[in-house]
Amino acid sequence: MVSLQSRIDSQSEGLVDNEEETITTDPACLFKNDSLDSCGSSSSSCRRRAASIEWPPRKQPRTIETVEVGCLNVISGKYESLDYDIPDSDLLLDEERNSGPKYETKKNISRWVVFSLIGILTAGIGIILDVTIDQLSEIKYGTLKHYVDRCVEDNCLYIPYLMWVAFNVGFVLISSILVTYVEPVASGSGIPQVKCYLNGVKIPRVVRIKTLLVKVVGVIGSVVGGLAVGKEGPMIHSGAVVAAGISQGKSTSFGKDFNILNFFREDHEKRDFVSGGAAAGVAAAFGAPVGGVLFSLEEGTSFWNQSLTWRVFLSAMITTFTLHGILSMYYGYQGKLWYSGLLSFGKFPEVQYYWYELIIYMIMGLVGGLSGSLFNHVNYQLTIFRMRYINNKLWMKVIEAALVAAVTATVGFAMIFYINDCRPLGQDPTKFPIQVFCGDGQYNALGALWFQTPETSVRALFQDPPGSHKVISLSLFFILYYLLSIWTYGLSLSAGLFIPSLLTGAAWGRLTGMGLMWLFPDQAWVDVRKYALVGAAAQLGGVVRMTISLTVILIEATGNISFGLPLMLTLICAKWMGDFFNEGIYDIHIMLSGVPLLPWEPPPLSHDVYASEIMSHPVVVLRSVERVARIVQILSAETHNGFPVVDPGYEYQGDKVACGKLRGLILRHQLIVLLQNKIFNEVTDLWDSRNHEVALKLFRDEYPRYKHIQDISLSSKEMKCTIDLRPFMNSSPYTVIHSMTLPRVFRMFRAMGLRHLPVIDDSNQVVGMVTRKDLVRYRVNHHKGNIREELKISEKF
Amino acid sequence: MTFVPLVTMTQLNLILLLFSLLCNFSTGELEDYNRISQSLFHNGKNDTCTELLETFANTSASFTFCAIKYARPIRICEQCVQFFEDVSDAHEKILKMEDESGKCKEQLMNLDRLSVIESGFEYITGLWDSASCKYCFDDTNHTLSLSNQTSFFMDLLNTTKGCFEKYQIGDDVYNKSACTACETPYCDLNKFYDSIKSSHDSVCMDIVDSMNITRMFWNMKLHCKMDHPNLDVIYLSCSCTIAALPIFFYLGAKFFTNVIRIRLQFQTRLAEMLKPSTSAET
Repeated sequence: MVSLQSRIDSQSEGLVDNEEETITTDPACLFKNDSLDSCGSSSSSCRRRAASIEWPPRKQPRTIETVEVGCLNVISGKYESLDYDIPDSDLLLDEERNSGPKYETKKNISRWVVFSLIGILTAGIGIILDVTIDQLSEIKYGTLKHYVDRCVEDNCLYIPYLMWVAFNVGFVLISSILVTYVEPVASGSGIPQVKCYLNGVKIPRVVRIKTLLVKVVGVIGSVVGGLAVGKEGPMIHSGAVVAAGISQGKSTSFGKDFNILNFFREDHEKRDFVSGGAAAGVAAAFGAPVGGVLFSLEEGTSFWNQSLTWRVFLSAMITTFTLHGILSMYYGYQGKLWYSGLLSFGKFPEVQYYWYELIIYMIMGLVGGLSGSLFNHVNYQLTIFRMRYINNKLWMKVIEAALVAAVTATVGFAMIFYINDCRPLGQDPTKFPIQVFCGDGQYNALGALWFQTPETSVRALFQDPPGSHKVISLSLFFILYYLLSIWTYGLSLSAGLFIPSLLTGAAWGRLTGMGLMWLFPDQAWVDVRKYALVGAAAQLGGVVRMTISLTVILIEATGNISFGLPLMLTLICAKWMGDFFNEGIYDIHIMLSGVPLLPWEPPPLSHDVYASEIMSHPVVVLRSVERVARIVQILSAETHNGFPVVDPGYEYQGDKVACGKLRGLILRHQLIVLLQNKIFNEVTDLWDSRNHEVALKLFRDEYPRYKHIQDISLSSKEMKCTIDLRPFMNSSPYTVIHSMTLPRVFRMFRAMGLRHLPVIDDSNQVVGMVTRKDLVRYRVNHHKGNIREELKISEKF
Repeated sequence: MTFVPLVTMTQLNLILLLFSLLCNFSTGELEDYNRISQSLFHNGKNDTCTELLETFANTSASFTFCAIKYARPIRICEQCVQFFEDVSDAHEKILKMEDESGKCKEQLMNLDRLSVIESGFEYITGLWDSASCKYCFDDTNHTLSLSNQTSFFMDLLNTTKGCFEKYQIGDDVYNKSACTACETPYCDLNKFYDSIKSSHDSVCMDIVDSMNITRMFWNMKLHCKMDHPNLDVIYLSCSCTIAALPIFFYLGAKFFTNVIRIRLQFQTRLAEMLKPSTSAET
């Protein structure tokens, strides 16, 4: 057995060990039987530890296991937590001492300014999306209509069909190539990523400007490309990126540092801003400021306070009204900050409902839950297939997206071609009514549904007068669109899920309304539009399983507070019904990508799990005055990000469970910055020239992208130096005692937004470390009874 | 017992004060009321405002009559434009004129919650606007005259209708040969309508409705539907190929791709340390 000390001596520089070897032969803190005896049997904590020794050790072979990709019970090792907890170091103390209350005021004012800016810029992105999609769709459908009208006479309908396919494939290819080759994290709706980020998981590259660009261009491509997608989810992601970007006063991608807002360069502040950005994104997408705030609260932010709510609300409000102001100008209503034409789903007329209708709404909610969970299940199976057979070749992802685009056009055209649902033109309800095989003075109702963006179709289903569609055409539309939206979600392009769900829901909701009209003719309360809205809510609720925020978003997007109770009842029923079968679609995708997301509550019935079982053991510790060579060796060999700091006199060859008395906690990136700037004890003149404030600035300047240990070169002389970690470390980290139970550890970890939680014994000696993945391992599986399962953790790949 | 008079004295004072205040108030209001009722009931001296009211009533009645009369087929814009102008004039006068007893606006409007004049006027302008009637006319010197475009459209319409009538062979029955004979005027009409539609944001309802009716007539009464071959071979083969592509794609993916396996991390736990270390140490 090679002891650590001797290894450092033998290999002084550039130690990169094989990890497997490290694991098996690196007993930093070896456990020996006699430590039990030395502990004595008098203290209760030791008895408990003794109990944990008797606890049957799990049979886990030492050989490295492998699993196929696409398992729900594996957490990916590549995800780390955010450093939400601000380290309580001497440097920070000094900064506060020197700056005083003036600094604090400046920081507060800047915070408000930044939140307002987030609102304005997010609205700007919303406008760009709206206007571009509007213009491009107009060109696309205008051209198609022209050719359809001409070709019906000349019998050349294959021309507009092939043009439609070409349009779709072309636009979708732009989106898909960008997302696949430039920035894969911009794929999908973005809500899962934002949700993880707000939960405290660092998703690599999720809030970069490059991601924003790819997202915006990508979503334009996929919406104009005629897929069953919406722009709402990407808008939320865009808001989040905007927030993270402008709060930092610099752009690492462009290598530009404006030297402002330095004090916001830490995960804590950044995440607060991102929650504002997500809310602004919802506000821009649906014109729903309150819904945006509630979305931030419900979907993401696990650590939240009232003053943050107020600021988040400000940015959401500013977004809504900036957007409305500018879009009013675009649509020719100068100077108006609000007009009802801008409501996302159109102004609903005064809806009346009676108590007995609530029962129908609840039944519709249950149906929505059923169809939503079916959606999730099929999409889940499809996603697994994609992960296993398609995702490992990038070009296949692109081809798949193009195929979906082509088939979408084919389905749409076939429906127009084969179903002659002719309606009198009347007042020309749609922008591009096409006649196809209808007689003069009529238009094809299905053509009207397909020849516009899905968002406009939702609005049409909500608003069109009764009798605008035939039952057969609407049912077929519902089935095919439902299948298409299942197929589309999870493709490698940026596209949201809200609108397709709403559209399928509105279709079957309208069908329900038509059925009721047939059952109860001449009843004033049967209004297909009302049922379209309820169906849309039920379907969306069944798919995404959002509750309060979705209710409020729908209320705000239809400008209709009086319909609040029916919407809420529908959504409750949809969620309950859906949760009976599986998780929400976002959670399924989060689980499949193995993100360690902390749920709202600790797993139930878990008081029998102690911190000593949860924690990782042994712990790699550093002494408060540590040799550079050892730091470099540890940083190269270990993947950990936080290291407990123990007494300087601690000997590593200890044969105890405990690894020395805890003095503080230091993070990997802090060590990197220290090494990079060579702040060594021996180079005293260098150290003296920097006061503490400068040192704190060093850390902030590097944020958020720190160098890798391999990129730091140190001479052999420097390797022999030492670093005093005490001024930099978090000198009072949150700790738990090893006998603490899982729910307590969980609550503390979640409420504080921690990343590392050292476990100590009764004499303040470090025995282990709890991180996010250690906690997330314990998950309850509702769908197979209340069985607690332990997840596996994959290597970083 | 001695308290009682004291109390009553203060009460009395208070009541007096209140009374005087009330009186002041009510006299002011009364004057107002008198003025209005005088102008309404004793219209001896000058009756400009009441006359105006009567004019407004008459003109709106004629407009409403006209609008409903020409509701089907819609000719509201063309037929009722005179009445609409009259109503607007009368309304504008009410807003601007004043007689001895004050401005007409103050005498007639905003006095009660019914506000008959305003809601009547709103109804009329609403109808006019929702029919987009202004697009039928050229606005020269605030008088509306039928625009060239509209009259040309109406000419075309009449030609087409005249052509249709030639082929009437019974009550609501037409000869099928109208389809070929009237195709030229009908197509001209369609083309002209499309050109109007593309050049303006909105088209006057008269035109839209007559076009729709003519098209429906062409379709339902004359049965001039073109025969469409429902089988387009090129289209069919293209769509079948495209629809089949995903099947090949997924089958190919399934059989020619190796599934990536990910390695699991070896988790270091206290319990893990126990077993091997005890065995290793002993």
